[in-house]
Amino acid sequence: MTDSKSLSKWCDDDDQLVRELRRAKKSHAAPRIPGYEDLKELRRGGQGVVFIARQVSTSRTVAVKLVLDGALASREVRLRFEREVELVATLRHPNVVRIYDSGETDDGLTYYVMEFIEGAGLDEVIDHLAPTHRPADSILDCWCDLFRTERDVLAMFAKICDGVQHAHQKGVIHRDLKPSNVRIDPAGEPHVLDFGLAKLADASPEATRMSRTGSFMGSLPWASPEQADGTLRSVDVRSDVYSLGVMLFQLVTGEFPYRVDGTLRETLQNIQTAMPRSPRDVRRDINDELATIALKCLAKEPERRYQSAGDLARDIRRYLAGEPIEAKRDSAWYSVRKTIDRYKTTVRAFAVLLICSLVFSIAMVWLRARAVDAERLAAQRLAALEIAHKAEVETREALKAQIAKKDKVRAFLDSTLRAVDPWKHPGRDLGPLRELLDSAVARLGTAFPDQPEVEAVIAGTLGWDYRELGMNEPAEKLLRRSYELSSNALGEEHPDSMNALTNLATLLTDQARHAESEKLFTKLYELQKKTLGAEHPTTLVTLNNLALDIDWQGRSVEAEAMYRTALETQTRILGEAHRDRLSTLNNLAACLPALGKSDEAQALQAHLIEIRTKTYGANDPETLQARSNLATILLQAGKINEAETLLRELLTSMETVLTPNHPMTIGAMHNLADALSNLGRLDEALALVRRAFDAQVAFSGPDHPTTLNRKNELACALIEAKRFDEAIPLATELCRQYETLVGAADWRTLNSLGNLAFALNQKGDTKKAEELWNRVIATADPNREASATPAVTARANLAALLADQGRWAEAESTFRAAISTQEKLSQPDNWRTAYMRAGLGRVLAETGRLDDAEKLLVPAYDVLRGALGDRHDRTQRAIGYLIRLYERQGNEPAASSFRQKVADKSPEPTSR
Amino acid sequence: MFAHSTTHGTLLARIANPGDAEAWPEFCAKYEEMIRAFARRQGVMGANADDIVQDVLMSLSKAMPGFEYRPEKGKFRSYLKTVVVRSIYRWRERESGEARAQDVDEISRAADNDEALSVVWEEEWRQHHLRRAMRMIQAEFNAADLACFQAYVVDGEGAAEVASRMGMTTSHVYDAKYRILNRLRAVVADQIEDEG
Repeated sequence: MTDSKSLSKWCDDDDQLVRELRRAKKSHAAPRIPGYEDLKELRRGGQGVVFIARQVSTSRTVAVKLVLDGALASREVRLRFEREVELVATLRHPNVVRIYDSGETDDGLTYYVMEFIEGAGLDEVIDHLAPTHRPADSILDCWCDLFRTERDVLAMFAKICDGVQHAHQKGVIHRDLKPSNVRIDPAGEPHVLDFGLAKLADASPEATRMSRTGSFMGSLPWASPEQADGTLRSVDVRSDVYSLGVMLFQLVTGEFPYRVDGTLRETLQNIQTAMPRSPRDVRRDINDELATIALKCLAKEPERRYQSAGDLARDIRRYLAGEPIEAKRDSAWYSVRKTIDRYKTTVRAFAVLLICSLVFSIAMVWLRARAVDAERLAAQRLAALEIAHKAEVETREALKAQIAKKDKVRAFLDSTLRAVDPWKHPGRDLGPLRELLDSAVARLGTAFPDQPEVEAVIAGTLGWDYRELGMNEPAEKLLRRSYELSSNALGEEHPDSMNALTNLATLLTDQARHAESEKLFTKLYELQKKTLGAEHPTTLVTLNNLALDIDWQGRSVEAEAMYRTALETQTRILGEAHRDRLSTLNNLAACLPALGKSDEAQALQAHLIEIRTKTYGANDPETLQARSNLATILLQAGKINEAETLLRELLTSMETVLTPNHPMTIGAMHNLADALSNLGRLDEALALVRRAFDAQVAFSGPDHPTTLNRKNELACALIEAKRFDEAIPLATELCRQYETLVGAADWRTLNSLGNLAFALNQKGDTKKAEELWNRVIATADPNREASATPAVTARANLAALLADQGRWAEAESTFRAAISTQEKLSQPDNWRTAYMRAGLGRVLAETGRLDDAEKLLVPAYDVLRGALGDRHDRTQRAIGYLIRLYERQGNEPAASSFRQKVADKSPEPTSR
Repeated sequence: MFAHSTTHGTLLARIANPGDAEAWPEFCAKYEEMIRAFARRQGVMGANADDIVQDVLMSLSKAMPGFEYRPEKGKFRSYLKTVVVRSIYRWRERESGEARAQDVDEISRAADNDEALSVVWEEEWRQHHLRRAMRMIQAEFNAADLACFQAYVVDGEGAAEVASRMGMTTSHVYDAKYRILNRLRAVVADQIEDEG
């Protein structure tokens, strides 16, 4: 055994230390993989080593990729890798390299076996095609013949897009498209490889970050702005479209759209902010339309790119066939707005750019009007562009300092605050984060006296963080401030201002303050129609949100029309499978049952599930969500058994695919509980609600706002099952937790207080119940829609309690107050209002005002019967009041006809 | 960070102290990867390697509170090796169906005399410390310096090539190598010291 001195010697000696560092790499030299022979190393990359080998069973030549040691160190990452490889192995397309097999070597390294494509990487082909670099090489020379013309190159490129599109339809995003990930076979056919595997690097542990940094640098020139930004959440199929755009640019010009040979920092900055030059700036002979196609791929915002690789392939082929392409050049207004956006600038700089945009716009209009001589027109357009460009360059220098400052602020906020996102770190104590936020807010007021647009961004970020914590009041204050500052400093039409408005409106929607958020979304919609156009994807998203707010206020007819408008345009512009369109489709389907169109709702939701499954896979979380929504529609349509079957299936797949504690799994448990409770199977329902609550505690800790919402649902389920002994302590604890988290006046605190009172009343503690309901009424802020609802409920329940005690005068005034508020909150034919009217009618009947009572009771009964059915508990109570009224009137025939409507106690055959 | 603490004593001493609740999870986090890597090199794959890790940590958790702590260098390393090897032997016996009871001393002797096994163990142990040290210094250096270290020192690329690709001077590349190696050495030495 080595003695203690020599133990640390290996690390004292530089050479030995370096040898040790390199050893892990060397040990991959010749892995033994059962079933494969003759492994020879082909190449080494950032992620691993590729070998050529022979598959013993088939004798075919395959490529084996060995994943870098340590890249898959944890069990979780390994499982994810296996799932990803399984998914990629389902891809079957002539332009996608097939995966045959995967597993672990004797040394515990992960490998996967793929189709071996003879030939070379597209990167080598590009190098060879470049006129400056042509060493003799037989196979590469043969490609020079294959790709002699631009037409040949573009036809090959369109096939690359086809392969990528196929993967997208199967739910696989490549994330690391670059020429070296495309193999060209001797016939000139492209084959895309390494799908989806880049994602794994993001999930692997710290240990491998260093090697990742290296491999990331190798892929950087093709990374999209959202990837360069490091915001992984926003990477989607359109990030691949961007990378394809860089490749297209390279293929037609031999160069990159912006400088990528600078330092890491410069390159990242160029990807995020530098306007790509036109391919025509590199080679004047490139066709204008082809340049437009490339630039559309390279838009900084994903929504301005082609929305799929398939769309890109189609436009390339249209161009090749001499047909008009779909891509349009950016409008003059957009280009200028973009410039402003990029440099986040002072008012003075605005003036410069606006003047310039004015000149530019006039030039454009004039040129269009006089479209006579194509050549002259092109020259003039170029001149106009040059003017714009010159102004831009001049402005740029002046603004650099300011951008740097703002970026720093953003970085600070993102690193300190986003890192403690409670969703990413469930179970974490939120106290320190709250303190951090509070201190940041305290500093905010004085930190940026002369830079309202900077303060606006920070207030917006902080506001959103408070929202994540469920702290709506400070969130609202900050988001409002962000919007005010931004719209005053930059104007309402500035993207920052519109963004702030979106956040504020979303916050209000969250709190069910639909009337208020409707106003904001309406304004936003108008602004976006004006600045972006009515058919812009972002405008359509707003229209969808607006419709949702209107829908939730019970104006389903209006909402339906808006959904249909948005849907029609999205189908046309974005295609059938786009996420935005599917979201609208989902909302429309949810809205239809209220309009008596349940069959159409079911058909639409089924159609949605079909597209989702086809495009994103059966196990994509949103596909599962869509199935869950179908179950909800079935529940509403009274097809409860069907819904139960669906929900049980769903719950099983969610538990497997998403884990038992995933928020969506928990949501599915709740839906199933609803179905069971509708079927009268209260015990089973209660058991599920309990399970959901436990899962939520495990997922986000005992004090997270969502956990408290689940606890509230559990309390309600206990009350429904008449288990008051259990419900009362739970509800009591919940009230205290809500009060600590969101304050005594928040609607959630009031709501749980009201539920506690309800349970106490049912248990016979009327005194305590009365006291609590009075407290809810006294605490609620009458000017806030959200807290008005629990107050109305409290009033209505309190009034019924007073009536039961024969305290008619108090009951009457309480009912009247409840009704007048409820009427403001909902449509006149709402069953809640009707139920309160029925209660008031009872009071009037008991105090001898029989005619007035009848005028209230009869229409109230009609509404209740229409909304809830004759057998519902509430309808039955109204029937009881009517019988009593007619008895007092001495109208025996009427009383007797209502007596026949009294349900017996046997369970209902079908319930709703 | 705990590796630089002088007041707490070594991790080993802390684990032997049942009152130190945080020591154990720390220990597991640190050694899990190494145990798994060693087990794999002994032919224990996939989920079985996970079982070995579990088994070793369980054995240690039972043995540790009574473990007599003697501050001799290399003591813990050889103790851990014995436990891991015993666990792998046990697994092999289960796999092959033959149960041969072996006591700890016998296994220790067998393990010490198995030259090949010891070489593998030492390699994994060094890799373990390097991995941890690399992880630790991630936050201390900027991404560009780390990428340059990877390319120049680990991947063995030329300094000039690395410098031009990353937009640095060659002396910056040498400097990054020097600073990172120095730091690595210090961190590894601390870790070994701490391990006991």
